[in-house]
Amino acid sequence: MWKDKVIIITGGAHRLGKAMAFRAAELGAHVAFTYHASSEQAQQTCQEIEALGRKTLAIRCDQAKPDEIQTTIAQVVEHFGRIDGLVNSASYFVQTDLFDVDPQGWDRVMAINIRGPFFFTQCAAKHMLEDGGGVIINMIDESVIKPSPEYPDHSIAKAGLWSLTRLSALRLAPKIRVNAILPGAVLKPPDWDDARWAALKNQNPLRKLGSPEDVCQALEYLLCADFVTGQMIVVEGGATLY
Amino acid sequence: MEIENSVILITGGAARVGRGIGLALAGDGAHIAFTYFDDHEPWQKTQSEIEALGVQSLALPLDIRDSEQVHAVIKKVADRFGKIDVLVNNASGPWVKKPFMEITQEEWDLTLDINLRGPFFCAQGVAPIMLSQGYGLIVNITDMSAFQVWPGYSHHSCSKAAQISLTKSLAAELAPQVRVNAIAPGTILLPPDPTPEKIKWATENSLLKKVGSPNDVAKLIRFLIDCDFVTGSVYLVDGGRSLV
Repeated sequence: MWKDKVIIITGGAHRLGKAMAFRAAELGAHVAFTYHASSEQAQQTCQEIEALGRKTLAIRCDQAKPDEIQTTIAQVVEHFGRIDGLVNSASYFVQTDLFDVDPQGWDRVMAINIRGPFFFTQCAAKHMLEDGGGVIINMIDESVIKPSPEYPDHSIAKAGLWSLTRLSALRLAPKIRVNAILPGAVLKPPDWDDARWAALKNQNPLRKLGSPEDVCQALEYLLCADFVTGQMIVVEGGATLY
Repeated sequence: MEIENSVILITGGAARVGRGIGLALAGDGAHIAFTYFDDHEPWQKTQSEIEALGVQSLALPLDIRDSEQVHAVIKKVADRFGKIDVLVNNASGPWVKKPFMEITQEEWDLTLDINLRGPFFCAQGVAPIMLSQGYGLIVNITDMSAFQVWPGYSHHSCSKAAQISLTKSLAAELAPQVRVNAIAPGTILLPPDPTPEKIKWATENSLLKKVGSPNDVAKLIRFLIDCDFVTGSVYLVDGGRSLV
């Protein structure tokens, strides 16, 4: 189904984005991905995807700048000739408190986490519609269901991304399907120690931590679920039940 | 959990969506036990088509309203296969449209017994087996009436909305060994001999402008079997109908 199709994944150089880039390549797609600061990791990811026999293109993009988003999509189309899939995975967050959010911090979080995906959707969708259709997947998180007071602006941006998911599902149907994946504890944040990470086990009913593989299974499902649009696939061990 | 050589019990599995789910998962190497209500259903045909895929199949008659029969059926499946990996609570009925003021107590009881009492005691029957195995998956098939207003189906809608509550309660109580999720399909199969109006309605009612297929539900069950970090979730497979 995805053999020789073209997918662009934002924030694909490392972590979850990289895992999804790999899965897309394993499904037969050629993979473009963006990175911002991680240029060494981006080169590494390129080499690993090429080793799977798929074409790849790493593009440096600061998605806080809409003109870079436009350039990025133009480069993908120029290089591959088409776009069939977009995964909005890049995100940015800093732990803070409602009283400590200042306008500059707010603007940066919103620019990357919601304005970026909006304009990626707008730019990519135009090409997808010309090419007969496509699939868009937005990465949201638990704060969409349970707002996280430690990440106030990020929570609001992710709620916006869920709204964008449903809105663009409506506007872009029937040619483009748009869905979201809501991962829970599937990958330790780089600045967390092991004990803090392991303690998350006790915060979901399945009493375990997930893995990027769980998210890749959801990705694979959504890429192929051609009767599904406007939905969220929750992969969080039941953490949002309570 | 691996699909290959797993044992999947599907209630109402002889015809329509249940049959489609059974055949799709049998194609992945799962052994399929299914129940049917009576001989008006093509259970022998379904059974032989499943077996033709190279897996085992067991067809058992069941009046799902009778919890003693439910427990007997589950025991037969467990005795035959030695385990039950997945229960798909799919049986549903009786699909009678009626204004709220005219629904009798008997009609209310029949609908709730099939759609809620049945799945409840099926889950209660398989849960001890799954808990002792240390793993298991229960999938409740609800429908869009749990989220949308369907005038004339107040009894049916209540039963289907309650299945979601059941899903979440069981996800919490049976964790961490047993995962429990729900699927709400949109129009994935039209009634037999659909009128052109019905086809037009179903197509246009979906954002994706098409009718789905039982395979769309099977794809999701396959994901739920593969991904063991998912419980308590409700998934819509509706072609975007809930957004229209």
